[in-house]
Amino acid sequence: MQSDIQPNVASAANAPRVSAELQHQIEQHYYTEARMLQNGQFREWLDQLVAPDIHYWLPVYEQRFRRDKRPAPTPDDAAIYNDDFSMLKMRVDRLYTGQVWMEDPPSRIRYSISNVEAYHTDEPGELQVFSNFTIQRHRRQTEHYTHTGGREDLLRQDGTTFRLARRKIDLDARVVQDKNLYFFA
Amino acid sequence: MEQRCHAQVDKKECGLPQVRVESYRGFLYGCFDADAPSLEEYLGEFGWFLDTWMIGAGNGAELLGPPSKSILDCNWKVPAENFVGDAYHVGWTHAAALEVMGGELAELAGNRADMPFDDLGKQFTTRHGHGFGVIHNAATSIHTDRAAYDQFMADQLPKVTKNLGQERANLFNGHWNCTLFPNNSFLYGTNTFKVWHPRGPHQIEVWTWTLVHKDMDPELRKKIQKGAAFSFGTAGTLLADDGENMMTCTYSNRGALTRRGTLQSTMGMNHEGPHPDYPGIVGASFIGETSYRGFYRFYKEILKAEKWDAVRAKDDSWDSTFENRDFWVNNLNTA
Repeated sequence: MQSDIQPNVASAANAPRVSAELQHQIEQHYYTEARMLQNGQFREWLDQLVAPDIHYWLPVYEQRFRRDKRPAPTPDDAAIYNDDFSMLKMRVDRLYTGQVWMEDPPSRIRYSISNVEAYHTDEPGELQVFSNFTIQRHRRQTEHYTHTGGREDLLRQDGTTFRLARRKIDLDARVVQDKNLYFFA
Repeated sequence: MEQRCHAQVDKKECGLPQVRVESYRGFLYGCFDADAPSLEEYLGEFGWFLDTWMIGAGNGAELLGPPSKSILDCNWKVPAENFVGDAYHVGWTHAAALEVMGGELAELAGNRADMPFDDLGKQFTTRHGHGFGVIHNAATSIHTDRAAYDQFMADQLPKVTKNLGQERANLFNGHWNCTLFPNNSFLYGTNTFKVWHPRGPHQIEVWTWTLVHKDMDPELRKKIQKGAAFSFGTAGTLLADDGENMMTCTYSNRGALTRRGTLQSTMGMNHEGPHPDYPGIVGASFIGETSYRGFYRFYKEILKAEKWDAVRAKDDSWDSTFENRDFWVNNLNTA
């Protein structure tokens, strides 16, 4: 089983924050990643920015009352994405078959990445990074969807760039406000 | 407090409406109509088919949750009809996913294969509009990581044969696309189980669970749950294609001109009829519209019937619209 990144902000607060320079590099990295995904460069994204041991995870979160103390979802529970590299690769390869009618004409999709907080972990070269996203997706003539959420990443330094080793996505909508989530947050 | 506010309401008169909740093999269904038939009567002969996996090797099946939920701007009948009988769309709509995922069904990609469709599967429809299509020996074919699942199915098969006989053992090993009328659909084999909740005529809320055999061990359940989300979850490689169709079909058919049209549902008409081995009406090919005709026949019937008694009055004659009564007798004799 792949290990989960613990969303423990308290421990993160005690962990060493990255330097201003590294913070800048990470933010620029996220902007580059977003631009690749906006431009439909999915193969470049997978080849250049994703680690072979990726766990790409979007759990199914339930709307729950405060008093409901059932544990948060684990990678063994229901999910919308629960992918390793080979699954992500199939998703990406599908987009290059020339037979994806749902994306022809393609969606216009735009990412805004913000609230980037980066910390060193016990593992040298591995960084825990929190960020928020807003994704605007326009489709067909008049369809427009907005998705907001947070990400918890494990980024691995790879020379002057980074590779994504873990991504846990918390989509704010508990009822997905779109006909599909076939895009990479 | 209510007294001081001069409340006029007699709370005894204001309870919630009662919902009837009944179980079939552990699957719970609700109904607000006190005059409706019991669940068992409503499922009727279709229970014979459901028992294939709801009993199966003995311990039956259950759902893994929590359900993922999403909004789809389509009429509820579009996904219901898609699941009840639309195997025709598979090769074209899902060409991209089939090509990448491989497996037996990859041959369908792009509708390029010249296959003997009549030998590959069948369609079924019974009283009250329930129906499904089956592709023989293809239960696990949409899963990409399937060795353990294949082994599980092979281990179950002798027990299913012993419990239920050869016909249903064959169905157990098949892939089903199914709708229980009106709005509960599932893909047996691909393990996705859905309810299409109408939110008015032009929108539904989709709830998706994973359907597993109770005898599956925890590791296999996890694998199946992952695989089902990968293909038919909210970001599924196949489901995403369908959502687009369901929405644009609804959108296009709202136009002033398109509303003057009628639904074409004639594929495989008369290549169907009562069958000596199965209940209901059986269509000769899994790519056909036998189960569409069963679904919409009952939709029309129930819209026209003022009371359930009017529906009950047709319990013995409902299938008379399927006119080629001797299709299977003739077909099986020549074979």
